Order: sequence, then structure tokens, then C-alpha cells
Amino acid sequence: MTYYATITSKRQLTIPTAIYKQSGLTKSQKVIVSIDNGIIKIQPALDFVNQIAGSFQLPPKYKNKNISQIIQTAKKSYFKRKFKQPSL
Amino acid sequence: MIFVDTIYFLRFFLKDNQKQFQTAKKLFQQAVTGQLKLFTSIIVFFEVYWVLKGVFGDKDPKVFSILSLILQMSFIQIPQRDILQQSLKNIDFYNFDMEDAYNAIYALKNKTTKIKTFDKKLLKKFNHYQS
Repeated sequence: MTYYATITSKRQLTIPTAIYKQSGLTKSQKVIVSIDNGIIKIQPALDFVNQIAGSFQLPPKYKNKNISQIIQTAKKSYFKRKFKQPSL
Repeated sequence: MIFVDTIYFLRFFLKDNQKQFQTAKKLFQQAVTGQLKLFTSIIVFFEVYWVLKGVFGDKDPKVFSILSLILQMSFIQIPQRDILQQSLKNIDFYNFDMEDAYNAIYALKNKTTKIKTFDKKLLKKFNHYQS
């Protein structure tokens, strides 16, 4: 479904009725507006949070480990690597 | 305003602790629907980055993806979000030290023409962004 729409001098855009109805968006609903390779996307904000929640898996070796220990170890090893060699 | 710490972001994305994952998710759901206002710090952002790099490894695209998603969470205030976005966009992915990119862009945004460091990578980045 593709429609033309016009952006006003205040950068406002009216979503064409058909797209609005199909999207399930409602008045005053919070949305996330983003741009990806020049394409502007409007997504219900709650969907965005639900979609990204838990979207990455911890490597198995870290499962059941204490998160504070993981943070400490990861930071220590990161900076150890970063500063181990003389820089100049 | 409620401050969000590193562990909340990690639990939210990694879902390694079901109870804390649900707590973090609920907090973000409340914030995204305008019920709460959240903010975090640059240190938290970098701490997430350091941990992810330690956990997933230097070249894993998941590190970049998670950082990018955090910056897209516009319902959480992050200081200097524009500099962080620019740093993430400009990093050399396979040789990616986010703090070097951030420092170089931060220095340039403050209109400096010189940078004093013993870190070759930072100097290289600064000169690259400057040109």
C-alpha cells in the first residue's frame, strides 16, 4: 500500500486513512519514529520494546553466572587488552 | 525521573534472569507509554559496551546492534546521545573502540584542532574525523 502525503511547514504529516486503519494505531498513542537507509519508520512504541526485549542470547559459558562478576571480568579483560601494549 | 543502571539494560536484552528480565521489561514498557521518565548516563552506556565486548567478543555484530538499540530507546534520556550516535555510526567496525570514536568526535564537537594522547588509535581517529 503506497500513498502520497505532504509534510507541512511544521514537519507534520497526516497518515493516510487506509494506512492508519490498517496499522491499528490509535489517537495519542506513543510511537517510535526511526530512519533506516533513508526510509522513515513509525512503530508503536510498546511493540518496539516488546520486540527488542530478550532479543539476544548470552553465550552458554556465561549462563547461570552472577551478572556482577560478568561485568567485573568483562571490564577487567577489556581494559587489560586495551592498555597492554605501549601506545606510541 | 528514574535512573537506569547497566544491569537493567543487560538483563533486558539478554534475558538471562527471567525475573529481572520481566522487571526491566515492565519498566521500559511503562516508560515508552509515558507513565515514567527514565534517564541514564554515558558511563552506563559504555559499561554496557565493555561488558558486551567482553561477553560476545570484539567482532560480534551483536555488540553494535544492542548499542544501536539502546540509542533508539528515545524514551530514555541519555546525555550526548547525538555524539554517541555519531560515534557508533563512524566506528571502524572491525577495529572498534567506541571510547576512541566518542573522544575524537567529542573533541571535534568542542571545536578543538589538537589532541594530546599517547594512544595511536585515538590520534588516528581524530585525524580521520578532522579531515
